[in-house]
Amino acid sequence: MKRAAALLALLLTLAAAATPHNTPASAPPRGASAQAGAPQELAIIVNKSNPTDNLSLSELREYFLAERGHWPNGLGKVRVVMLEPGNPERDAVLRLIYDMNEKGFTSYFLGKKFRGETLEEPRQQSSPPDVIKFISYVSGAIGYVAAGEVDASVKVVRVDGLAPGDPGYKLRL
Amino acid sequence: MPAALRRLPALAAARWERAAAPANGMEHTFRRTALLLLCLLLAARAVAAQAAADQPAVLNADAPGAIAGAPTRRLPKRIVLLRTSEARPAETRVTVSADSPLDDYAVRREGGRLIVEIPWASVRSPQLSAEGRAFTGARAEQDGDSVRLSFALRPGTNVRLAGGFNRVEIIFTAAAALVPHDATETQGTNVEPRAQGGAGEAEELRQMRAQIAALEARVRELEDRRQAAAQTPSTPAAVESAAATAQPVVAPAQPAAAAAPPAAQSGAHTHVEDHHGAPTIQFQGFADVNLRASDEKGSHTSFALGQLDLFMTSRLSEKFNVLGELIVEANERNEFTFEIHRLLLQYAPNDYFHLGAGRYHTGIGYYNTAYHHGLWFQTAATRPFIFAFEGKGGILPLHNVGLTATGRVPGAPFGLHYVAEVGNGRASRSTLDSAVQTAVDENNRKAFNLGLFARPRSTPGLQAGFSVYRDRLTPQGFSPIPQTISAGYVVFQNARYESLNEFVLMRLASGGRVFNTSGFYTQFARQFGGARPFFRYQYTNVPHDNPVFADVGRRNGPSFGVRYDLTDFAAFKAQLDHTSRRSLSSLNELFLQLAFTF
Repeated sequence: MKRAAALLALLLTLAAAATPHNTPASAPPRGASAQAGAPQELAIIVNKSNPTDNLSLSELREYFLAERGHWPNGLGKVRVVMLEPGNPERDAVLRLIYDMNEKGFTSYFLGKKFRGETLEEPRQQSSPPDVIKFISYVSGAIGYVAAGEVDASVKVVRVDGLAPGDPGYKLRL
Repeated sequence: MPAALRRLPALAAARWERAAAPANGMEHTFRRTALLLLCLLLAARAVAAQAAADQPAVLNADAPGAIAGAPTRRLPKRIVLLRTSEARPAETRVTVSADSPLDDYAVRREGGRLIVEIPWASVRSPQLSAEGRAFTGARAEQDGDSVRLSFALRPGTNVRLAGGFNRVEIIFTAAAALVPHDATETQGTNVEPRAQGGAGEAEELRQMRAQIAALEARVRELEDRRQAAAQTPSTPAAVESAAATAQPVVAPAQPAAAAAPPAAQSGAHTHVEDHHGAPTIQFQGFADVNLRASDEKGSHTSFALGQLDLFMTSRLSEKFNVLGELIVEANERNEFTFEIHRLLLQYAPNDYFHLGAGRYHTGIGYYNTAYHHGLWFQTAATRPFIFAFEGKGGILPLHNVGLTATGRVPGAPFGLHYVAEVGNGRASRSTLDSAVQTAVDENNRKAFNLGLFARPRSTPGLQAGFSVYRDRLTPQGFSPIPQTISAGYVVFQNARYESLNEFVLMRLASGGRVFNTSGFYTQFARQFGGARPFFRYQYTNVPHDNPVFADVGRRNGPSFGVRYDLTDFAAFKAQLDHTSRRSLSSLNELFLQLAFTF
């Protein structure tokens, strides 16, 4: 038994060392240019009809993790919008808000569904303009884009009382 | 001792009791196993490398049925057809149909105009009348990737939207006093009904043919896509509609303005949607394949097909949904059994109250609800013994039939949630009974379970809670036995660490005596790249004179293992258990498992 266990451990170690592992998608060139200069900041955006002006980072985390599924101000269900994998903004949100990698993100929401806690997974959009467009249409939506891409059709929410550009703003790419 | 309750633990105990001495030829068995394992690992590595190479460059899309993070392709643009009809007096309908689902259109008001915008679409054959009874200046325009419909509403016009899978009807109802088309005019249009009707039917047929052609093209494209994606794991999931409920949009007419929703009044965008289609089921599968070897006398090293878990959800409305779980597995006689393990109609109006009716996983502790039949979720290959299933020697009532409610505690700190459940409880009357009383309860007393748990927002990944379960067992030929199960836990999980710690205390009162059964486990895991080694120590102690579960006895010992993720949706696990048992020899077991979701 001991010999078998030792052999098993050796085999597993060799296999683990040799097997390629799927890491989160690397950032595409689009983000590279943004990161080359001053660090870009992420803006958390909501529909203009949403009266929320400020969220703490922990509140933001609760919305993105589907721990809270409804807005407290009668706006109904929270609709989280994510960019597709491969976007640097998404990577930043996974790191700063979710504290997960891509696999953990998928597994987390599968688990939430499995436990019957939610049927809502974040919607995905392919580009920041699509995110803005979606949020401008859907009253309960919340998402993120690089601060420089925000337009007037959506509303930027402060995080811990700070807006993008303020000293100490935490959501940076 | 009630024989009925003794039966199921005895099944498991019998396995453990057969371990008097290591079987002859174990060394040969393990050598063969190791060789086989090496082949399996090399094959798994090749598959993983191939999967990584086949990963599509374009990931995911805003597509119905696509789960967050699941790889899918972007949907092509939809072909949109338009038609205007005036079926009733004072009512004009604009029908928008497409060759794929229309679930993301948006409606808003800009001044006196109603705007309907359909993203990722192109318009074909717009039969849009410029003027209707309720609007003027109707336009259908291609605006980049979107189709934009706009209508200048006549004062007092009411607009509502109805639709189904790939169709939306914009229904304009003009205020009677303001309708310019009076009865005479209507009669006038009917002067030549045959000619008009014939032309209309021909046009309808032409549009239907065009729609069929578009749908056929769409089916071909989807089939191609499915073939292309056949080698990449995909996860069906519910991506529900973007909007909450259908709301009437009222034209900016002075008398009707008060009825407009706040968003419309403020000029903000309003997403209007109405679903009339039948609900659909979304499946997620979980399964596992195992190899088990032990030094238990008389046992054979065996491959084993684990559970095929068909987990399904269906949204009935914004607040109602259905959750089900069907399990197919082979028993010890190599015969397949099928069972509905969960079936719940859930009502979730807000974060504070989620009510479910049906068969559910009892909210005792953490492991039972967090990890149940989908072994892909859990780090280890096996469950802690204290949370073993009823049919496999477990002592806890892990399934129940009745009502379950949960939600946040309003205003409470630390992300406090409650759990309140009432159900039939566990069977104990006869050896022929199933442990879970799915259809008939053996007594009128119901089992209650009340619990609280906290998920403090300041410490993501931390959860702690406790629960108290009460039931009365009524085994045939014995006086009723009150049962109380107290459970508590502290768990912490994030991307790198996992720490699970739970204890359970079961109290049975019989014949003027109290019998306490205690159990706990602690498990720790750390992620290193794709591998997650883990350690678990578990302990369960049933007193030898326990009136119900004495056969279980005491068992305790460590488990070591590693989980390695072959892909995002398949994992290989290896686990070694060493279990000490009261009055029996120790038991060593090796588990190898492939667990996956699909």
